[in-house]
Amino acid sequence: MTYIPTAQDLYWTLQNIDQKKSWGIPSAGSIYFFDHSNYRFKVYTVAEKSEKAMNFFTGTYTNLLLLGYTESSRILCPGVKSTKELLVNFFQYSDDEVERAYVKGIEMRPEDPRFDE
Amino acid sequence: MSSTDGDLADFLIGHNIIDDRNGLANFDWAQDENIGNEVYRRGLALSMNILNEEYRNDNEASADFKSIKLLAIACLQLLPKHEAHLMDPLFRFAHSAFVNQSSHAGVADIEFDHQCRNLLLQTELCQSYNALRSSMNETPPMEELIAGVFMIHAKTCFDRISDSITGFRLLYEHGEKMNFQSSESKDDLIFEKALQISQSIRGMILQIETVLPLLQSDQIKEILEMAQTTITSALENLHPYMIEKNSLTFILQQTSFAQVGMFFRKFFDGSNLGINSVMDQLNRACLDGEVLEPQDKYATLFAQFLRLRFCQQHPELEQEETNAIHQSQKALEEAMKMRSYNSYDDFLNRLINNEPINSIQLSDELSFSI
Repeated sequence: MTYIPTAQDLYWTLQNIDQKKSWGIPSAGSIYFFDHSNYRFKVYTVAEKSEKAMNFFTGTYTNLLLLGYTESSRILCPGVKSTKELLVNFFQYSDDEVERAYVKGIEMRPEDPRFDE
Repeated sequence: MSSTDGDLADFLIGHNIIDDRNGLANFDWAQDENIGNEVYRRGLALSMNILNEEYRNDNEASADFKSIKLLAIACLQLLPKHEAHLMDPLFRFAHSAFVNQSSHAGVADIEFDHQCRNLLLQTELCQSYNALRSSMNETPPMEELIAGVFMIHAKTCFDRISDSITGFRLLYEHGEKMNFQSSESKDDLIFEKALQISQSIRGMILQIETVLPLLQSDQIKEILEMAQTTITSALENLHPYMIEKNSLTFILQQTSFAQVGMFFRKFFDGSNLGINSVMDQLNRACLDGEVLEPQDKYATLFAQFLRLRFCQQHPELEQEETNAIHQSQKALEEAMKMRSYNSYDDFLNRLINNEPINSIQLSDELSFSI
């Protein structure tokens, strides 16, 4: 069944990416990089995702399309199993940098009661 | 695109049902009874197909979602307002096929997305209302059943209206951050959404008034909470847009304030809201002294109805009632005879002649059309 985002999903996503250059999503095994002025993004994503991660990826990807963004390129990253490994292996993040990025991501995340459930 | 879809696009173009900009053409095509019948037949046939899960799975990735949406809109023009739900499967499938195909293409027409969301609000609310109305047709009438169905209906509708309010905020507050083809198309969508939310709130209050006598005290409490949360949110979020946009939105917003004030005053703990302040708000919505275009005058007819009914419910407003009768007759004369004009004409004249009004008929005729 095709994922159809609610207005709340779109609203949250727009707030979340606003003025951000990148958006890493551990649950989706992906990192998006934005060119906001041209409404484009490229995405690095774990090549072999679980079904759950694939569903999360499809959701975020669809939300971005429905905000008017288009994908400029998709880089399927082989040999990694998580967003953390992707950051370490492809962007040379240290463990500390990964941890800080993760905490910052949660702190910067727009509020949504659904995250509290 | 399947061959059936190809046929559909050819049919719509061949009979001038869509124009060269791929939108719905004017209503001329519907003057030909044969074409009207064929549009309706195709709409219902496709609707039946879409109810079959196998059909949906087989066709979603290739369906001509634009033609399907246009066919459904064409059918809406032929159907009575309260039967809009018959087109719900078409809009839902067109939207789903659009999202599916956009995901594969890596690009989406966001105007189409929001057009579908607006249309689906209309059909979903209508669908839920029809379930409620069906529950009223049981013989003998089963009050507990009606009350139970109404609670489900109210929750469904207020949830959908809340989602639409979020959709309105998305477009109105942050639309410039989205990649719309033009600001005009974005503005049209905001306008359409604001009107739909206003209409939905109007309809829900009419429906609650109809069913409230059948509800238990705990159900009334629950309805109060749902209504208060959603209606307050709608009025607050729409307010800056509605008072600024144009005379129609101003009239609708003032009418909403008046209707909501009367509603909470009558049924809930709004006794601190004085009769005179409700009357002042009703007068603001009626805009008696203003020179208005006929279509704007039409938009004041609901406020005229509310004011006259309020006067008759409060004997201390006897003097104001005479003026309200005069102004409602004047408004009927000056208003454009569009959409629900005949209903307003009927309801206002019944009030003037002290004839009873059936609340179910009121809800049926005014819940889905401004």
